[in-house]
Amino acid sequence: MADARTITLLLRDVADGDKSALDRVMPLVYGELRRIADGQLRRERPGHTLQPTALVHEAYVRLMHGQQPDYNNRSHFLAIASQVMRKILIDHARTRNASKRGGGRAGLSLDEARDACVERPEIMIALDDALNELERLDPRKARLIEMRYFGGLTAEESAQTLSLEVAEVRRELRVAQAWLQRELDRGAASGTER
Amino acid sequence: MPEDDWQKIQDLFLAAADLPPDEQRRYLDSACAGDASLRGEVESLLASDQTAETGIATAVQSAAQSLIESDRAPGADPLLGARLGPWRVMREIGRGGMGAVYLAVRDDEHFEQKAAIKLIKLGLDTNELLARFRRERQILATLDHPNIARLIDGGSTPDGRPYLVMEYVEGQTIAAWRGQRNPSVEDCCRLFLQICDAASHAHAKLVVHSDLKPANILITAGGAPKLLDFGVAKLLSRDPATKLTLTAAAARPLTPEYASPEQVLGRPVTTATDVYALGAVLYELLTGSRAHRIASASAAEVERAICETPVPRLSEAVDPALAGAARLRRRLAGDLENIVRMAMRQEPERRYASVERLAADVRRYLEGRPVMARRDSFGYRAGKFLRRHRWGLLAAGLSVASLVTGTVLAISEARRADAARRVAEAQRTVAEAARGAAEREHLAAERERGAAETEAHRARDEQQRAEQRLDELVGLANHSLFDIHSEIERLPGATDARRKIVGTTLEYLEKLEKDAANDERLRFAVGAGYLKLAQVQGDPFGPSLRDFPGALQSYRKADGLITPLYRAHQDDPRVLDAWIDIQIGAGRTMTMSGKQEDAVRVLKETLSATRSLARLRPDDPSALGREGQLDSAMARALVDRDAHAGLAWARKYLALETPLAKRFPRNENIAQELSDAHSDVATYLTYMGELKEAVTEFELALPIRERLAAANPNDVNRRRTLMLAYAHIAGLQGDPVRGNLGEFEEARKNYSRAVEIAEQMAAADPKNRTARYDLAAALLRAGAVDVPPSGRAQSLEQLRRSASIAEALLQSSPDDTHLKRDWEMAQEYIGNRLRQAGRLPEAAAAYRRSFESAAGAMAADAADRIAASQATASGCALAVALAEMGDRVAALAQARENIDRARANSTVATYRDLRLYCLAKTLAGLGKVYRVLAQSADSAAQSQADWREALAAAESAQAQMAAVPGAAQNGNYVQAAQEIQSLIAEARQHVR
Repeated sequence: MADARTITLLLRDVADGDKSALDRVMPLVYGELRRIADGQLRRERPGHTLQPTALVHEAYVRLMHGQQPDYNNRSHFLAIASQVMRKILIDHARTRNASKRGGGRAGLSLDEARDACVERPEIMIALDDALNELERLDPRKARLIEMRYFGGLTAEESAQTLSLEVAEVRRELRVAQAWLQRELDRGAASGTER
Repeated sequence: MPEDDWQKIQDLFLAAADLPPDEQRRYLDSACAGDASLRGEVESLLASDQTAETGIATAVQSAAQSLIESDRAPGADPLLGARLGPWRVMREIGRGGMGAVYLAVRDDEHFEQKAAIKLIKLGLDTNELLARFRRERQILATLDHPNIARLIDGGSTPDGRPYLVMEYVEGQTIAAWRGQRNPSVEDCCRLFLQICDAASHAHAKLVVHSDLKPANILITAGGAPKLLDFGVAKLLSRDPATKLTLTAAAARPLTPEYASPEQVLGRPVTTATDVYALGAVLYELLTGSRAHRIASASAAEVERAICETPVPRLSEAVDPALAGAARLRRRLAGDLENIVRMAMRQEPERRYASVERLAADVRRYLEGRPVMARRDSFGYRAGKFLRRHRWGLLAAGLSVASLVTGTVLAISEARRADAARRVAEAQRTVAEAARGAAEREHLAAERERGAAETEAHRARDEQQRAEQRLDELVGLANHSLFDIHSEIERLPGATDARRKIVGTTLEYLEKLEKDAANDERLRFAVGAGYLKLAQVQGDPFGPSLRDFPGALQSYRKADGLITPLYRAHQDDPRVLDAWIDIQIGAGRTMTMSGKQEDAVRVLKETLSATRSLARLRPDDPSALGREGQLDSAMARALVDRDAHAGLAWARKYLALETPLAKRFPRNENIAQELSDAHSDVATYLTYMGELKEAVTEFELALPIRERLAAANPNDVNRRRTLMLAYAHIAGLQGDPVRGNLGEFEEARKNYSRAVEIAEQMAAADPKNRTARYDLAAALLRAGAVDVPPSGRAQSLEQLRRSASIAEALLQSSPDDTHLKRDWEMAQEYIGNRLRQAGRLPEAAAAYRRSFESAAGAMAADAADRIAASQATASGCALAVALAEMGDRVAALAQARENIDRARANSTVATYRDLRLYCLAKTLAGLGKVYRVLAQSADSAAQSQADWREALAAAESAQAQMAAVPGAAQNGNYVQAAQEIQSLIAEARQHVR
């Protein structure tokens, strides 16, 4: 596992706009998030509610090995982690959804039979589609949604990473949320039977 | 949406969001000022504002919940989250007979890369599974097709379980695709064609999928199908370790609904199995329902459903509730129905012979042309009924099964089936004699018929299976030999691989040969295999290894196997044709190996067979053309010893092809033969020094070849023979290194046409080495023709291009001696053109390059006569150029070195006349050097001395020339002798 110092340096480079640093830090975050999620499922009892944002925060603490948190660093980390988290969730939802549709006697595994009653991957897929749409329309708003909902960043932390006023972040988020929700509502109303 | 609008919507939304409802309305009334669409946008956002936060949070929450719920398997899989090589295992995405499949991501810099990891679950890793799994890894590595999920990597887990990393495919199943896209019949067919393309790619690599089914096909967002999971794919061979066995993979996990009858019955799996499965896929693509519906998974039920229940008609599978059901039903009835039925026939050999054939039929359907698939004919069904009936009668009297199985146990599979057939036939005779008795026992027969039919079915299947196996074996031999061979024959450095293919095939044929003694069918197949092998080894005209002794041996083997069949079945055109093919091939190869007398004998003995064949098949152009091929081979065998006889046979060849070409004016093979006949006659006329007539004859071949090339713009060989015809004509008119007609203007014109064609071929396929090779050769010949001063610059340019193309080609095949000699010749002529332009130092440099390369080749292989002759020409030119530059010492040293080298080479046994001629040339070369030196000498005394030396050298050259056998008949030699004579005369004038 990469040490905390490496990550700190990488995060600084990311903040300075170094794309390759981002490419290197992403997998670290991904791996850590997965490890925590997998740990959760071994540790916790059924019915436990997983908060993705909590997951992201825990990943940060673990990767930093309890080092003195650097506020700046932390915001950047969380911003990256929010993207990774979204990726994890949407990948999962899409494959779940695909396997649900695959149906048929031969293909139906025990897993699917069980999952069919608990999950609704189509919601996540619709959200992801809408987010992609928003990204085309207004990329900054899409980033802010990711930070808020997948990374659990506060308005202050988001403002920090994107060099915005906090009030501006709040306004942007409010528009973005309403827009997204409207898209989701429209999707549901048009009866996309997924 | 324009940015301004979006900004305005946001501003209005934010301004209105926190207002009480009434105020909100009033505010929007004034702010939107009648802009209904703007107002609609803002209002819709406001409507979602309240629920937005919780709505999104819930969606994310639910997805996260699903993530951990789904992973909470009982006794969680320790692989989840684990790292395998650079991959991190994310979650299970599926489960097959083989084991679980996981989604993995690269856990390093390549963050974006996803993969499917397929590995054997704990508790299932028997040795058999492991072995099969390892096999799959090797197979998949050879498949590279956009519609086949790629193999990326492989390895084993820390606890030793093997896994494969495969391309992760994001896509929909066929059912989902149909549901979402509501595709037309054409869309389905087009998708299906892509699936076929992938399957036939795999088949070409000798890989059978054997578990093709809709669940193994995903359709990507781009609409491309991807074939997944070559889980039970079976290597037909290729890999020497599998020793060409074709056993059925035992205990294969398969999905009953999509299994073919042969799989259900545990019979060998072949490409026909995939054809069946593709039929089932097409069925499901078109109708949305399965071809077979199986009520229970019991073996008996599966067998009944797959092997006995006919596939329901496509049109009957259309859901009547569907909009447009009647129309769809009409579209599916007929051609498409017949295509699916033909693909899904019970008997593998009655399906489409290949996936390509199936695809071609679907394509024909799409293009509105008649398809090949037909409903079972009445004759076929009647025959089938009679066969059944007969076996039923037979069973009444005798127990076939015990006899058959008792007899066949010990013998090889192919022969076993044949024995089974013979036993059955013998029994049938008995049975028919006993028919009366059988009829009395009619009731008993009825009772037993069920069981008997099964047995009969089995016996017949045994036969079919053996025959199919035989076909496969032979097909494999042909495939591995010819497809692979032709794929690689033009690749540089492929010779070793080609030899290996030949070696493998030989080994395999030898093995089969042992079994062939008592089975005529197998005997014929093995003989045909040897014939093809021989052609690959030593076809003198096609691409071959030019291994003539090896080819002769294979021809002998083929002959040994086929001749007894030929004796026994003189009226079987297939046997006759193969036998003739062997004799002609052997004759040609004997000629190439210097055994012309043997060739003449063999070919003479074949003449009557070609005539029998022509009588048996009076309307088959290929059979009628055999005698012409024989004549052509005969001409070649004779021409070296007796040019007149050779020419006579060539004329006979021409006389035979001419009426054939008139009778079959549209048969391109015959047209090609006719043009070859003209070209043969022309070639032998050239040998006899009848250059003018030869040109006329070549010119008769030209329009035929022009026509063939124009009709087949993509056929490289046709263009190439056209180019060669132009080059031959040009060579006769003005090739500087041969006797020629001195029609240099015409020669340049015809060479230019050859260059033009070669340029087109090289441009059309930059990877085609032969095309570049030809272009270099054509440019060289064109540039080497004598030119007036005005044409020198162009000539120099052509020569330089030729040299640079040759250099590029030599980079990858440095041992290509032909190419090297061409390059040396180009350098020599570059030197000539530069010398003519007075650029002596550059000319000398070019001569030196040419000389050093050729002399090096001579040192490496004294027998290389072209190198010897090139070293002579370049060495002499270099010495003269040095003399002209005033470097007396270097010029004389070079001229003497030339003589020493030629003298040493003159003791080589082969091509003695040429070597002696070279020695004479180098002696004359010394004389020419002295002539230059004498002409430019500082003093009269020196000049006098030099003329004396020139005379002495020329005289010894003349003496040497007189010792060259046959010098008087060869134009080149005659010309050289004249040059020497004039040098002597000139020197005598100066010598006092």
